[in-house]
Amino acid sequence: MILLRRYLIYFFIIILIAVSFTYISAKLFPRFAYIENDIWRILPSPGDPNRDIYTRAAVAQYGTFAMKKPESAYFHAFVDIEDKPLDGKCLYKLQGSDIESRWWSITVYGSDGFLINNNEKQYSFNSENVDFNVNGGFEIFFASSNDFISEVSNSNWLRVSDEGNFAISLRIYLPGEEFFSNLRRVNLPIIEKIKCAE
Amino acid sequence: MSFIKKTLILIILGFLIHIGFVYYFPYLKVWMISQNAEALSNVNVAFYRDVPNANSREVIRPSPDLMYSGCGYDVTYDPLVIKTDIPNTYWSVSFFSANSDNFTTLNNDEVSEGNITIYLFGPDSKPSQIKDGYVVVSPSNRGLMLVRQFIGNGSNLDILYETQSSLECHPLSD
Repeated sequence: MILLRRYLIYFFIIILIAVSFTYISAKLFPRFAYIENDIWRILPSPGDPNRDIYTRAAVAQYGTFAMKKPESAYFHAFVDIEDKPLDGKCLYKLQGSDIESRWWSITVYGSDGFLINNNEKQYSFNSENVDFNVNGGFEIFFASSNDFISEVSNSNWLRVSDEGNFAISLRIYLPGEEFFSNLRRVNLPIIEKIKCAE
Repeated sequence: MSFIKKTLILIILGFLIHIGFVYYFPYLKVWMISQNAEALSNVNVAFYRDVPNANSREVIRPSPDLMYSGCGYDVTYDPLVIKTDIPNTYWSVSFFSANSDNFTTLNNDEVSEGNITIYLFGPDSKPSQIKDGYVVVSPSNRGLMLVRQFIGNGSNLDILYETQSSLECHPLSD
């Protein structure tokens, strides 16, 4: 009985150590694995069969069935240019210029990683349906409040949830091999906070 | 056994369990997705999806700019034959092994024809005598094939749904 109790204690200690290793690696993984480009971060080839086991596990959790390069590049933003989390109670402007590729899209997700329910059934803009301005650039606004949306003199806006934070994904399909060798410096849209609800 | 030795053994065992968990997690995740998605658990049969919306919960971060279709596969006993039409817009077919590795992708920059036939073989296969299509060898017997069609401004959805419905997956012997 005493022996059994001792082995049970060993078992729980081993499991505790395993959970601790997993927790620490999950916390440290983004710092070492992601390439950062201003507010955007990217795993260079998330679906690659040669990726390490940590990248494979992270992609399985946060982007299952992502493709390898050079088919697509998946950038994610969780903060604005002031490094503050994207807050559903605020109005944001994403500003950029056309990205050389087969096509690209900007999609907004809730903090759970799924598309945000909205009456407009509009979850994204892509290189074919976004309204470009006369300079060839574009602006997309993100807000939950109707007041903010009515202030935006632009048809490119996406509704977010007023509860909690949200995330923005930028998908770029077939941007060319050279694009992937320069992920830290490629020109990507910026996101700035305009104002927040009081 | 000394305390230090015992502690070291416990740490090593804990680390090995951690590595085992991280290694097998993608297999578990793919298995869980296939259990939740009825269409994916029916292997070697095509499935078709509407353009993702806020109710889409099968896979995290679905793209609302893509129309998805595909088939879960099991090529343990028989290769799989995949046939589909190809639209003018961006189209790709990508293959994922049992641990979600994307081992092959074809897109319509590489395939110039209006339709395609793909023969999917299991690991260690040395396929021969295939003359009328593309040959893909999967590193695992089970996995997923996913077709993505870009919907653009949505003006050609009818055509894309028609193209999507042309997808067929069946074992070679059928």
